Amino acid sequence: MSVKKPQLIFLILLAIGFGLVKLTQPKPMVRPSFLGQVNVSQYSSQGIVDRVIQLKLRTENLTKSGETEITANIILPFDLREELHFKWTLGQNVILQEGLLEGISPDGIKKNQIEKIKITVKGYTVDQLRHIGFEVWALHGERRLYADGLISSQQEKSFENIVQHVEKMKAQKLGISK
Amino acid sequence: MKRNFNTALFCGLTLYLMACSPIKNSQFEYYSTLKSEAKECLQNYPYTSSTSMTGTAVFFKRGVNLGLEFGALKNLSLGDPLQAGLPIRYAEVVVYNSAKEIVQCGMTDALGHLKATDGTSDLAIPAKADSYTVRILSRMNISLAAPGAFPAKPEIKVHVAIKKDLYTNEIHYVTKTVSSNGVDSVTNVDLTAFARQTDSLEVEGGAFNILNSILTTYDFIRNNTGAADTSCLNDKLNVYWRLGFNPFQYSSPNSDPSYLQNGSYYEPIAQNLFITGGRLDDISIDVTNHFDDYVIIHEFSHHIENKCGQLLSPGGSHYILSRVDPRLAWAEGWANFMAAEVMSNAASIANINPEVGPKFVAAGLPSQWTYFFGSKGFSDSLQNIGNGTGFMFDLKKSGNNPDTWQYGTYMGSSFDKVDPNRYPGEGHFREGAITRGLFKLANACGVNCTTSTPITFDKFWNSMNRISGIGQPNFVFKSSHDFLEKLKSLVDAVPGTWAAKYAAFNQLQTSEALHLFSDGAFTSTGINRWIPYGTNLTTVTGGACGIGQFYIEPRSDDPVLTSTNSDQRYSNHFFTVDLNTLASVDEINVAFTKQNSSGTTTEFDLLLFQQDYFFNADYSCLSTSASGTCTSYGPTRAVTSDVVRSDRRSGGVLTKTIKNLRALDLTKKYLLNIRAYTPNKTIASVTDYSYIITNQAGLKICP
Repeated sequence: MSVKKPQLIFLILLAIGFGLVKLTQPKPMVRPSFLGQVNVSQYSSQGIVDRVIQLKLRTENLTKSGETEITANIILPFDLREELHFKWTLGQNVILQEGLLEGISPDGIKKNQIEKIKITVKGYTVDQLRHIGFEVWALHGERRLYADGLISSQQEKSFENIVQHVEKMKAQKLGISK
Repeated sequence: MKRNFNTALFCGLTLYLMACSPIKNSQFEYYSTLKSEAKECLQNYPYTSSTSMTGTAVFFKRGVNLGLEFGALKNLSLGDPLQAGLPIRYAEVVVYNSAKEIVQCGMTDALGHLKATDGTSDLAIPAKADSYTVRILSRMNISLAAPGAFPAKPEIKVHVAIKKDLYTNEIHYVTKTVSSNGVDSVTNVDLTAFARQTDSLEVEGGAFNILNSILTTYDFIRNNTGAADTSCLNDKLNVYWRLGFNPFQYSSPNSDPSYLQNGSYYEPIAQNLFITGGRLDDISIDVTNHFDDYVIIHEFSHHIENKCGQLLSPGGSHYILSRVDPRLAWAEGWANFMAAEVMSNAASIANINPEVGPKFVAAGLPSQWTYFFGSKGFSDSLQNIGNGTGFMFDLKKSGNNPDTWQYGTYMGSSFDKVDPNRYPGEGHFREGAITRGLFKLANACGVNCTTSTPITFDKFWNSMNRISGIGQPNFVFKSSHDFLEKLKSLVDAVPGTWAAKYAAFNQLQTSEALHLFSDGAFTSTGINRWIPYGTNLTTVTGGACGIGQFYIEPRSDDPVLTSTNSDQRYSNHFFTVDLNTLASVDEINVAFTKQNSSGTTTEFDLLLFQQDYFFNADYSCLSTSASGTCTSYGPTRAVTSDVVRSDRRSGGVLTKTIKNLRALDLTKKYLLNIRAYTPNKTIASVTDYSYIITNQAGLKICP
């Protein structure tokens, strides 16, 4: 790809103009997020837990007839010799094809090493609203380690997604980098 | 080379412009503009020629399934919807004609019947052939009549709206369109808010259940607070609930919703309630609270304390497992107790869930609701869903043998198990113990509950509120101990009643370790081994303190008892300092003397907190993971901005000092925290130190 000089000059001018507009435009009064330093109490049905487990749920559509592979990627910031328990919860119309819904990963996990727990399901497709939950926990000395996640096949349609974007827009109007 | 540079510059600028451009999406823009709530329909539209419209509005909710083991109730969970719908009571009614003009306003009555705005007359519509749309809104604005025994009790208004979100302020509703021939009455206009998504995608039953739980709580307060003025609750309350949405996303918009903790909460500044409807449109796997009456009333009870008393809780996580900040324990204990009181009341549960009592009885259990309960997921026999679970404990059980967690990492662990003999007074630092202890004083509910006449709820209310209770502004630092001392004083309107009927019960039979200082529980041979949180320092004297000597008994930061934090019960004593009362005090010295040679030699600190402080922890984060979670902690003596004076010198300093106190804002009160420095230390349980508090002239400062 080659770029001609006039195009480049135009872009530079556009960028400068954009920057000037951003700098000079008045900051509208937009209500910031309301919970910054407010004394909100929070209940957890899990008890006090150490959320040091990094959890990421990944999905991969398989080529064969509508099956999806779900992987829980688990990373710990230290060696774990104790048993790691896990539990998948499948939402309505999601059917297990392969793997275990509940189990124990008995071999321990090395610090910063990715532990993968996989299942294959049917029915988890983007054209229908579907959900899968995952929980993982371990007793490490006196520490109760815990993480959980819930994925939606249509996360972009969720109200959480709207809130994320609306709050980002509000922050942009306030000139807050989020 | 130059071409490559230009290309790179082109790409970079393009990306910059793309990245900085405001987000453009009509849906996002729609929500980013704050909209006003629709005006309330309160007007009666008179017609010279009219006909009437009759019908009933009901809502369905999910009931509870009993988790029984050998006949004992071990857990509860959400199950199928109730067999019969419950009336939508006192909700706003709006009638539109085919041109979408409002032609009448009204309300439902106590049985859910459609009525005019006065709540009793027929709902009149124009005598004109047309199609009419009726809406029942999850909003009410009514006055409850004073109870018959207290006709002078000030008016109680119930002004509540259950809204969809913070941006549109839309009210949930159910609707139905009917035809009128303009002559005959329009009958059987029956509207239903369903609990199953297969019946209605929006599950409007959730909104109307929240409204119903709150109305029931208002009604309970009206009928059980005697002549007390409860108009403190008359201001409008906004509740935000949306099916499948976790409201914590509002406060953590940058968090990935897949991993953000899900729950309900009360926001005390704006005074709004947020009830979770699930997460990412899921309602069957994760936590939802729209059918959890206990949780709804719990959160509403924070509002009650905020409006009618003083909500001084620092907030934060709380798990019913360990000793916590006594302000937090009190606020949560009150909310739990209040929810239990409403739900255990026969009239209230008849409005909330009339099918649960018979269900208990059929299982061989007492019919009364005596449970703390929050659900997770639900089970449904028709939808073939079996995810329902929950956490539940029975408030009538003994504090030293409560129920245990039924799932998760704490499965098998007790809910705030206390040991009144070994740890007297520790109940004041445990919300579970406070909840159970108050409930057992207020109810005749079996072997662990009071055998005397239960203390009536009005005394609990008057001990909490800002007229006669610990909601008064002079209680700047308060705990359940203040509350119970206040309750005791009200019970002792007939002198000696507390001592005769409740003192021994409170100390022993409940096993909740809610001992009172005034009952002599912490004093022996002139030595006070614990001082109630926030005890006022009032006197400067050259002699000895009238109440005797002070001992502090430091303990290790136990992973179970204290969640590996400084032990609020044992390692800390807290005194309220009012520098106006202590007019000669510019300096506070505290001298420590080890008493038991077998005890662990321990260092002490002084911290002076300002009002509404967050506790200054003795641990700080040493390292964080890539996601920002702290992965290891280490001891620290650093102070936070809430500490206005401190002496945290290390080493064998046996007298600690804070100075220059008269430079502080003298209109404020402060909290003197005498603290043993215990992080990562093992402290022998026989350790005790005496201490003496003096001013700059060496005179003693006493309670």
